[in-house]
Amino acid sequence: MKDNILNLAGYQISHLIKKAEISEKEVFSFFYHRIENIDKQLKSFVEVYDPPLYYEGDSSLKGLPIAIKDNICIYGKRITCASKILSSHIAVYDATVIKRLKKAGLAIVGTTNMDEFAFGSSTENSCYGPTRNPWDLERIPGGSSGGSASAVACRLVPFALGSDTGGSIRQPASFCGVVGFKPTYGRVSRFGLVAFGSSLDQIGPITTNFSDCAHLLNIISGFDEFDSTTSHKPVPDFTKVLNYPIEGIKIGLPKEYFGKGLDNEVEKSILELISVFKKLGVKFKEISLPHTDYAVATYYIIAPSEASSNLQRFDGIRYGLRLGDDLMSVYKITRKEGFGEEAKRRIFIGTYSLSSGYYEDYYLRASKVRTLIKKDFEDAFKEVDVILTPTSPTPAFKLGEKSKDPLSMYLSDIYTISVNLAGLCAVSFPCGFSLQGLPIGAQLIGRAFDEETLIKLGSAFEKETDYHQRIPPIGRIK
Amino acid sequence: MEYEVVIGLEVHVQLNTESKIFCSCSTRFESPPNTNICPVCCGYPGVLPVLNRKALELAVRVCLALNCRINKRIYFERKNYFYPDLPKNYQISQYKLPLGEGGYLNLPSGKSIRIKRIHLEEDAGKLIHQDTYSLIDFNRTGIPLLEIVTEPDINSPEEAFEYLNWLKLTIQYIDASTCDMEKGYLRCDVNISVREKGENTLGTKVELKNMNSFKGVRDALEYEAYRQIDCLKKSIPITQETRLWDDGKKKTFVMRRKEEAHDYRYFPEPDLVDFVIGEELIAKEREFIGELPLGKRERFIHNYSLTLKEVDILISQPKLADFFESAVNILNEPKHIANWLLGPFLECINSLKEGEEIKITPNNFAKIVKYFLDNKLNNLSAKRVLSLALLTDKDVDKIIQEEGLIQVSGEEELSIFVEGVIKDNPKAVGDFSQGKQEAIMFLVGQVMKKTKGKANPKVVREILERRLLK
Repeated sequence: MKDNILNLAGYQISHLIKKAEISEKEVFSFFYHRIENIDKQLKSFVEVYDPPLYYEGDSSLKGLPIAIKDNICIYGKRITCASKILSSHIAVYDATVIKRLKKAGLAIVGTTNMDEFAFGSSTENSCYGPTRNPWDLERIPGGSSGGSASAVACRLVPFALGSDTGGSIRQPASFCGVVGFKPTYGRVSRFGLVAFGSSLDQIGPITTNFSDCAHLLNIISGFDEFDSTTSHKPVPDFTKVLNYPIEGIKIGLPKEYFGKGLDNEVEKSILELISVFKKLGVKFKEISLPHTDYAVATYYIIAPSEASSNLQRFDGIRYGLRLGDDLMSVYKITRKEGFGEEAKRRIFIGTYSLSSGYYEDYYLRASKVRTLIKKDFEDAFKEVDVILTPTSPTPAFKLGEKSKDPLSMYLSDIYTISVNLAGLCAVSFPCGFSLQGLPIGAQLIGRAFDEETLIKLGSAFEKETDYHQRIPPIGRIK
Repeated sequence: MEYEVVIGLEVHVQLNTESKIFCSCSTRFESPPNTNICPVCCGYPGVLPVLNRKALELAVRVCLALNCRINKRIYFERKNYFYPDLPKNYQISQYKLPLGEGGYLNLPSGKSIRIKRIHLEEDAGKLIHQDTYSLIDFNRTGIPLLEIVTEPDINSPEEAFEYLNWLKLTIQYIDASTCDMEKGYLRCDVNISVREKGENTLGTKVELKNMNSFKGVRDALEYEAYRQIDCLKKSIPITQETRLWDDGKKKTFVMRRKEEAHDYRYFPEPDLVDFVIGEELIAKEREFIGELPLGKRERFIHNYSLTLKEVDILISQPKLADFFESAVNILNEPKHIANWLLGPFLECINSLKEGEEIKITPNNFAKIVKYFLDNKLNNLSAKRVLSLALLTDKDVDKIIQEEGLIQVSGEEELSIFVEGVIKDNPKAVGDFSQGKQEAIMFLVGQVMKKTKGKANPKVVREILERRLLK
């Protein structure tokens, strides 16, 4: 039975534990062995808790280990956001999602690497150094939730939590060949998630398959009295739609997402995916999202503006790093030494965009364009139920390939960013592999609070293909 | 040349809530430093604010009492600046769209001061400076504040003083804040400029800070008006700046020039949603607002023949005014009720010990006054009954009975005491016979002593005079 774990979904392992066919202890030691043996190469974890933080509770995922992106507060544990400025900080409370995981009887095994404060698309901007892509150690795993995606892809844990501000769950999921789900803004509480762009951030699951994704969403979703931006909408049982027929669902293909810059192999995989869906009775329609071209520019005003304000609290006064010896020097030296280059870049952009005299031309204008982008989607969803796009224009790129060119790095999120600006839900899932053996991801975008349709489609596709079952070569050891 | 002073006031009032504006920490005053704090008000990574509904309700109430137009949909904004007493290094406030706008407050003098805007925000912490370091107390961080800004309608330090007093009273009447300035529940910054009379444009304005009392505000304004007029007279340019009031030296000093002004980089607070101020909420708060001080003042002047001073003291405390009216309803003697209330009653209250609670009902109070007016209690006994009745809800009749204080006015009964006193005090009797009028007061006093204060002194004196002048 133990040998079988590797090929089982999380909920199936939990089921075996309940039937006493395998013990929790055996499950833990199986995954700890993998972390110990494989993560030296991947560097997907920032910290591994041994023993795990295990809490009595119950759910369909009870007894399973889970990894948490290092920007979500776990009481009594270090929370660093992969930044020097927080590297000594211990969380003084549990994030709402952590409380819910505990109540569900999951075991937290550690924290995963990320771009500093989630600023990046490659997990290279980490004070701990980069995480590697398990399919090719010379490549990046995507970012900013690269540690979580890489660990899940290699089955170091059955699943992990990430956070997504502009694609930070979906893009690494796509690069690592796993399922990364960004719930609708307001579906999952942000309380305890260290804020990057408060109006864009959302926590979501990274799993190897849609079933586990649905189970995890059941656990973490729903209104939270500590987050005013969470919705009161009732949370459906997402596992109910796992075996639903998808015939008649209408998918839109936005023409703006299939043009210049899209890699041939990625396009080919998406076309194959479309033909699978067509066989299952799904209807397709070309649509237009006319303001797509402005999404990256809009995002890189709004997200840094909010970030510049959110990051002001890291000042050396109350917690985290403190350098300098008088007030001004504490502010200046702490922040100069504590923040990495990309963090500083975004603080500058954001501060500039909000400054008097520039506010109208930057922040305010970006907010207006954001409304137009939102409206594009509203119009599109009058014609179709779901939108299908590639997750990223290319498969995973090489370490260092884009780290000197912020703009080309920003463009790797070109297909994911609009979703955050519009507050919608979206998922990336594996839909093929490149000739070099790199995973390719497809993105499904749903109406606000219609996560169910995405799960329906994704799980139906999984039944027709085996991409989600493939394990990177370095993870194939038993 | 005549000069005109133009003043605008910015008042911060701490709203009367149990918990802070964006978290559940207590707002209790004088707790040990950093005991009313939590990750939210200390700006720990990952925390989010949640608006305290009570703060919003009280803010709406103040807006209504100050005749403001209430914006039906409001949102909060972040005011960004680095300061160690501000844990997030931004303050959640309102900027573009305040809760209330376009209001006014009428003053007893007849002048109406326009209210430009009222907005809700969170307080910062308190810095305690030591020799070589500073300490921070975050207890105050996140306490709900209401900022109330006037138009530049005030034309003298005295008028500013009057406005502040009436603003405070109005807010106290609707139970939105205690406005206790000593505790920092009310803080006031002012803008002042001067110009030649008849001039249309405003002079260069100077902002004054650090006044710790309404009197301090008045003094600072007087000093500053004098300073600025002096500048105009001598053709010295006035610079736009912020000045600090030094209450010891009775002077203002430059704190910062205009060019050092902050760019606060306001933008909408993404962690909070928009709030709709519904008709239901407004109706509920409007209902809460009873008679406001100005209306009460006018009604008291009209209904009761009291002096202006008496009226002003009565209405200065809503509870006192209500007590007065309840007592008058029972005993229609407003003048006497007011005398007893503002005299002996307040005197008794002032001598209360910490923790003692006033329990006397208006009914019992009216009874005491009635006993006095009916000559059943003399002045001294009435005061004694009052002091005994103050802390209980025991019936006054019972107290008088228990203490045996009912006034003795019967001539027969009193004559016995008078005879005794005449016999025991031959010297005083002799003095009186020789024309020393004051000797009779001594003898009255002796009778009072013998009767343990129960005798009616008027009757005693009559008996004595009759007896000795025979």
